[in-house]
Amino acid sequence: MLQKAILFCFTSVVFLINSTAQPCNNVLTLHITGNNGVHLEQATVTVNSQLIKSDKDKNFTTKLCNGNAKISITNIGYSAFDTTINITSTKRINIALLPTIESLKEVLVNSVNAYQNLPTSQIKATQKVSLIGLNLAQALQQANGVTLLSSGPTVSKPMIHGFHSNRILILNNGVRQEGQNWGTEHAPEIDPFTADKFTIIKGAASVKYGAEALGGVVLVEPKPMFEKLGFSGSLNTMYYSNNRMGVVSGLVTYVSSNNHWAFRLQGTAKKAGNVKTPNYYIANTGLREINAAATIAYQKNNYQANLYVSNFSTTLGFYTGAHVESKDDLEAAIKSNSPLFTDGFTYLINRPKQTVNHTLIKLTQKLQLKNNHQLQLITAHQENSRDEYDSKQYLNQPEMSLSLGTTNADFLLKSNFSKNFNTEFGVQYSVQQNINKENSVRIFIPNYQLNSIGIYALANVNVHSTNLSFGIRYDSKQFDAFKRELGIQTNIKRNFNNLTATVQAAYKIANNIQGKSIVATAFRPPAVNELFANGLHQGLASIEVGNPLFNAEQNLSFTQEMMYKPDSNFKFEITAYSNHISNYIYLQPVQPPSFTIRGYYPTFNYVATNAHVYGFDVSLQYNFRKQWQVSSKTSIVRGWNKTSSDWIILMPADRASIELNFLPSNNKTFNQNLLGIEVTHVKQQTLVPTNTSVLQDYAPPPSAYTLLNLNTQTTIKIYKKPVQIGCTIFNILNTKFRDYLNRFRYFIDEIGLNASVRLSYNF
Amino acid sequence: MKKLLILTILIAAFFSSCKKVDDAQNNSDHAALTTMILTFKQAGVTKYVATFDDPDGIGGANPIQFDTIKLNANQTYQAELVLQNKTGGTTKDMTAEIRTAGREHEFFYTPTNVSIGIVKTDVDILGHPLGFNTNWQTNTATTTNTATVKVQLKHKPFNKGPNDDVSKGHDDININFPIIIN
Repeated sequence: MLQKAILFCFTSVVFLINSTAQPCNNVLTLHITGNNGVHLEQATVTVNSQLIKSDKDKNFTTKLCNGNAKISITNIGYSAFDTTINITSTKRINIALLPTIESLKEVLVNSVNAYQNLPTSQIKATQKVSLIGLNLAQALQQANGVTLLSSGPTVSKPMIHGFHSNRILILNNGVRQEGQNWGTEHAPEIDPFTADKFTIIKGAASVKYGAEALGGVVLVEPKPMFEKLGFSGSLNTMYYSNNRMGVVSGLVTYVSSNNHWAFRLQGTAKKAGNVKTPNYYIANTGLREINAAATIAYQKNNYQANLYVSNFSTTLGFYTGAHVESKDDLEAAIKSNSPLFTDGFTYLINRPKQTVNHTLIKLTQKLQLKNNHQLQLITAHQENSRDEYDSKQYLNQPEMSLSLGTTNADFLLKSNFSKNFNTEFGVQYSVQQNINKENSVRIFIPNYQLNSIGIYALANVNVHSTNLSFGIRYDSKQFDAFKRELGIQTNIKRNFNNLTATVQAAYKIANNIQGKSIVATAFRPPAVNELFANGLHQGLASIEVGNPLFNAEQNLSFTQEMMYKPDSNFKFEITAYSNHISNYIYLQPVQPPSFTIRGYYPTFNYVATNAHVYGFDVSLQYNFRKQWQVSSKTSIVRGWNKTSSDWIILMPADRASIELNFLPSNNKTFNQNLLGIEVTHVKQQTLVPTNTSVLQDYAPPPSAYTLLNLNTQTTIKIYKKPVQIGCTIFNILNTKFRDYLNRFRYFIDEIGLNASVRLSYNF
Repeated sequence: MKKLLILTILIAAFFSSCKKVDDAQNNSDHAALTTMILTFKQAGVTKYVATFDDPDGIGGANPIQFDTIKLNANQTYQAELVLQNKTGGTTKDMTAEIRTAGREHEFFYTPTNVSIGIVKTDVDILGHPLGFNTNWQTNTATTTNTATVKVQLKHKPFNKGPNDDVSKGHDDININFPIIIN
């Protein structure tokens, strides 16, 4: 998909053809194309704010005087194109628009309207400067329907429509991210600075992406390699006041003069100290992170190759008081009004902590065949190393130490048979091995090997103005686990075979209203902890017991999306979804608690039930009086346990936000100015399990909260190169709050006022 | 096409597994405490032994042995505590290891509904109380079946002092033994 984007970037080079002309009699002809050169005669084109319709040759033509002409082009599914050119004669300009959603089924997007894709949200890192410096999950949270699941201030992971961890798939640069995804306190090992764009596919998408794409998919995509000949790059730095976090990230790309080779180096360093709530510093919440990535790309004739190597390395402090070792300790920590462990400010990281290292090496090859066929081969290897240190220390070594290696090969054949019919066929194979390292003291999950193979086919057809797509997939996974208990080793084998399918239709409901309906099935084999966990879960003083006999989760999901967009100043979108999941696996408290050498522990069994997870996202955007912009987002999720007729624990509380931006006009010094204010409100979660005969949660969900954030940014030129400067103040009222989706909500408040300044220099 | 094939083969070489998952030899909870044996003596002669035994450690099966302490009234006993780890399938003594790390550990004995005096008689390397060895001075016979002695091993990595109370540090062991004094 990277190379595809490159292709379009290059074809979007503007050709200027001069001819003689008279003042006010210059004819400007715009020839606009999209994917595969298809004419975009439906595009909305304005020249000097005047709307222009296409003519019979599918071109957009207007007469202009000498002088500057401001051209603005928008088309659904493509990035808006804005430029100003100096008109002195008659001109013909060819413009190829860049598709915005080439990620899901890029072939399928070709030659048809782009609103056929799954519900997606996109976040462009370069556009939203205020995202710079956040971790991946925090950046993704900007999309409606995405929430944060966190374990204190240092660890957070994305939750989409109430699904997280193993029910969300993250594709980093085209490769499935394979860390110890099962843990709620295991954050994705991805440096957001490597990405130019995040695409979030909300809803089941197993057919294309396989198991684990049960609740959603996140695509993390880097900047295209062949964008500009010679050297180019960027340097970002930022500082956060609350935890005195400093971040530096740089990227440099070189493209050879013959445009065949491109090289890129990227690096990020991050250091933060203890986080401060409105009233106190939270002990041991610092973090350190160093990441580096290198890319070599080659393209010639019909062949493209891209070799990518990256390393992500982090040390994360965990709040000392949230790491309890017994039920008595836990109760004491929850009862206490003030945290049991506070500290001043320090960058030092003590136990409990995690150190995580993730290496990815990936080779993507694309071969364009005749007759509009394209072959693609992605081969990759990932090595994930995770060390977790408890607060107690018998020996100077981690209590849990895991090494996870994953090798995969994806083969893809995309075929474009006609303007109205195309297909995609793929085979995906992977081998994964997990090892408890020699020094690992606590065995929570066993050693295992997991072999997976998936095969799928997708087809896309245009019938009149309706776009239909169909997909089917077969998966087979073999789990081979090795457990050792009381000196006796046992080998447990499980096989999971699944057939999944999807049907979707995208259509026009009325002139300004587009609709999309999707029916999809998805599946997820039980994760290793759900099958084999048996023991104390780090930190939360609870015993978790898996069940090696679980079947795979099956999701039958319905999604309906509608977009009303009468003009470029108003947009209203609604997405409603309903997931019926059989064998939905969750932690159910059991009685009596386990009796151990450390006393009684609350005990949770993984159990399977039938669940219904449903909800909707609504978003609205309105631009008014040229310089003002107001937007709002609302997200509602419900999780219902159909078997026990009760609510499911840990579903996101209802939330809404409204943002008002003032965009002062450009002047000599300051460009792209923005002054914004955002209010976010999160309700108290009241829809929690009502069965009180067993302990369901250690404490009731925290109260509702409202946060106020400010954001300003501008661009100035230094040595003719743009420098973006931004300042954000999060939680400006220093509101004290706790969030239901934070595992440490029992112990500590969330982060208080946090001001940040950012500098972003592009060359 | 040729290039693609060659590279494919090269990558396939990747696939030869490099890890040895099928040897879970090291997967034993070697710092775990599974078993505690409390031996009561008078003049070197064993009078009573109370055991807590949960060989598979925390989680899994319930403890296989959990005794009630039975002592006589108006007597003095010298008690000695032994810790073991049985998760590896064999019995490994943990007493020496914890004793060596004594400056971070301390036992606490808390009687409830029973009249008994328990005094620690051993110290760590810094001379602070440890509690593997204790003297138990019994008084009158118990009249209720709710009499207990809670045994806690407190872990205090950075802050052990000479006169700590039971609230300091966190529990490595927390067992509430029922007790009967006849």
